[in-house]
Amino acid sequence: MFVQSTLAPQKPVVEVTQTLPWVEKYRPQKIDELAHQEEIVNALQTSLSSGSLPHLLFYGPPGTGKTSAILAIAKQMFGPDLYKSRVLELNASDDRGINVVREKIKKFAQVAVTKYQNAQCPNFKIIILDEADSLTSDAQSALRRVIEKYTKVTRFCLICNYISKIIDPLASRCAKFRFKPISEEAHLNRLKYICEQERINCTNDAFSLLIQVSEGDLRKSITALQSTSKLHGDWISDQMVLDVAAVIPADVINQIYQSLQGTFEEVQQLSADLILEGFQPDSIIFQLFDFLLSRQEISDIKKAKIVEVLAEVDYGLVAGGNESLLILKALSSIQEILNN
Amino acid sequence: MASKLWVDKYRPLTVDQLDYHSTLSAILERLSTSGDLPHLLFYGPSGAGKKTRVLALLNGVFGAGVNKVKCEVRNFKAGTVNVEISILQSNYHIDMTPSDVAHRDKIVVQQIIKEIGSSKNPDQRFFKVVILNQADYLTDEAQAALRRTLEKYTATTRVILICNSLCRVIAPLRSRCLSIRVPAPSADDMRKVLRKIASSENLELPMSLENKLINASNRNIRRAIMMMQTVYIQNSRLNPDASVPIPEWEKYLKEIATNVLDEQTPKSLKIVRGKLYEVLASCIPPTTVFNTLCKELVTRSDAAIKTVVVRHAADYELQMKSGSKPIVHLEAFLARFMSVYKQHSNRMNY
Ligand SMILES: Nc1ncnc2c1ncn2[C@@H]1O[C@H](COP(=O)(O)OP(=O)(O)OP(=O)(O)O)[C@@H](O)[C@H]1O
Ligand SMILES: [Mg+2]
Repeated sequence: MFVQSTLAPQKPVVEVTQTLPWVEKYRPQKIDELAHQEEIVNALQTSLSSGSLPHLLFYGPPGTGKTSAILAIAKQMFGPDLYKSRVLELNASDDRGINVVREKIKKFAQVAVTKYQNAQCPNFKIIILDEADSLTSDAQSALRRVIEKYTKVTRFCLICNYISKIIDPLASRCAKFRFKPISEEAHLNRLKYICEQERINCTNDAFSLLIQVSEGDLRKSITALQSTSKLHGDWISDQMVLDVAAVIPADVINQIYQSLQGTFEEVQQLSADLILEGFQPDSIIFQLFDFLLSRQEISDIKKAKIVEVLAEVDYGLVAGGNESLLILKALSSIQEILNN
Repeated sequence: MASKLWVDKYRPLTVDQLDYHSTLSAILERLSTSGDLPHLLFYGPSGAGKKTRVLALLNGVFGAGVNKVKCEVRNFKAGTVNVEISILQSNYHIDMTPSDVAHRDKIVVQQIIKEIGSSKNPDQRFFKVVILNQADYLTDEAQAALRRTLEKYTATTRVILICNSLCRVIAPLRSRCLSIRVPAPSADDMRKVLRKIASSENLELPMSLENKLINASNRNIRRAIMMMQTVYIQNSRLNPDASVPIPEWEKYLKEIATNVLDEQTPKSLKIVRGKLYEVLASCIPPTTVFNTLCKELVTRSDAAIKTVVVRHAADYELQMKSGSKPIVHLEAFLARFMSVYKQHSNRMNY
């Protein structure tokens, strides 16, 4: 008898793909779909045709294709049938301690690979350690030996945002690939492609704004694209992008500049307002920096002093200082510099 | 009995009941009717109405069922470590503040998302929502651990992060969410809300009181409503002459400022030290003390030294963050202020 429980698991499969966010829907399925990482694509293509692969270390800023790249090459190497038995994905931070990781790797690596009729298919397994930068250095040392032990039958792929957190002996065992922030051109092409697939219209201004606010992070711009298109039917214009982007509008920056020429009380009021408006101190500092340095009427020596203040405040913010005090410090000090 | 708090009684439940930020509400409306959500990151100052908006959004997505919450204490195990945390839960979502368990937050966050990822909603919806409050207080480890977890469980789980300060959320996590800024309500926004509540309670809200409430609450809507209710309870009406209650500690800090401005000597510093101890002993966050004192001192000193005073306040506060005894840094700031103030007035006297 068909009870509901046997039906239920099948039904979502259709629907889930329907509601899958675009970032997942448009995750590159083949490595040549990967935007802007030509060197890496070439290297991986070669591996694919020769059937050999070194241990890999992918690093770089968010949303540049690291996870996508390894998933794509693994799929292409093994195909859908073998994928499960040949690829193990571990969140490095997911499992408590290296012992669990080691145990899992051992179990996975021990099962012999079945010779497959397809000659193209290489005879090793791939173990993906995403977020490898959250492994402690003890765990990383232990991992070094694990890699050596199973090097005949497995290839490791370590992925991280911050390469400085990977210990040297581990990094040196891998071929290192740095993923670059996505260039404007590549960014535009990818976004246009998605718009075509989804049959939505988007103005050129909106495209460039999307690209500008996402700072080379393709995931960010795709999320913003989907959210703005959903919000407003199929028409995307630049104002809508601004609504969901965490940038400070130009007129607010202008307003800050105005107040810098006024009294201390004006600056004090504005600092409080900026925080209450929810504008982020780091964005304020960064955008103000750009703005002030581009002003002709400010002398070079004053600019130098301003940069010094902004650098101090930026450090303070990262080190956990109070935002209201630091923004007030930045603005009132700049005011003093400008008025002297 | 009218003992229910007005903040709760008049909390908007659905997106169309939200009082201010109409563009933002339009965005939420569209998100809730589209049936799907990205991971979200709400940020803005406290008392701006972030949580209210999140719950209204969920109400739009799942229906009134999200308001039926129960509170429970949950246990999470990782190896030999056992962590206890209380959570609010409906059939559709879980609401928790992982920073309650300090550095163990990573365990809680990961296990709860995994657990949700494998449980089912009662209706046809395919995802559940996890609300993580005070996301800016999550440890770096917990934030790092969320990176792949958010992607892996996208099909079954959406995460909504709520925080005051975006810059304490790591970039890879920001990248995975749609950020939504919630500004504090403007004075006019607050006016509307206060009037609406007053008229629902059949009360007359005099202009003078209204202004006092708005000025004293610093664009924090929750605080304004609470103060209005306090006035009502104390006077049985919204008395135009009622003084808006100022918290004891704030009065006390004003007093400290007066001491410092009156006399800049080691003796005066000693008196002030005693008072600072008392303030800190009543659990006022040292950062708040810094802010309040700085504001008070700056307002009451000469234009020529205002900027310097601000700079010292910011610097000593920052130093305190990497130190262990807040009192030392507060006192250092006041001592420094005395010196700056005295030098300046000496100069003026010649
Ligand atoms: N180079 C790229 N080409 C095409 N799409 C990309 C690229 N980089 C990122 N994307 C898009 O962004 C999404 C996230 O990318 P991915 O998971 O590979 O990023 P990542 O580099 O692993 O980031 P993180 O460091 O945050 O884990 C993908 O699903 C895809 O939609
Ligand atoms: Mg990744």
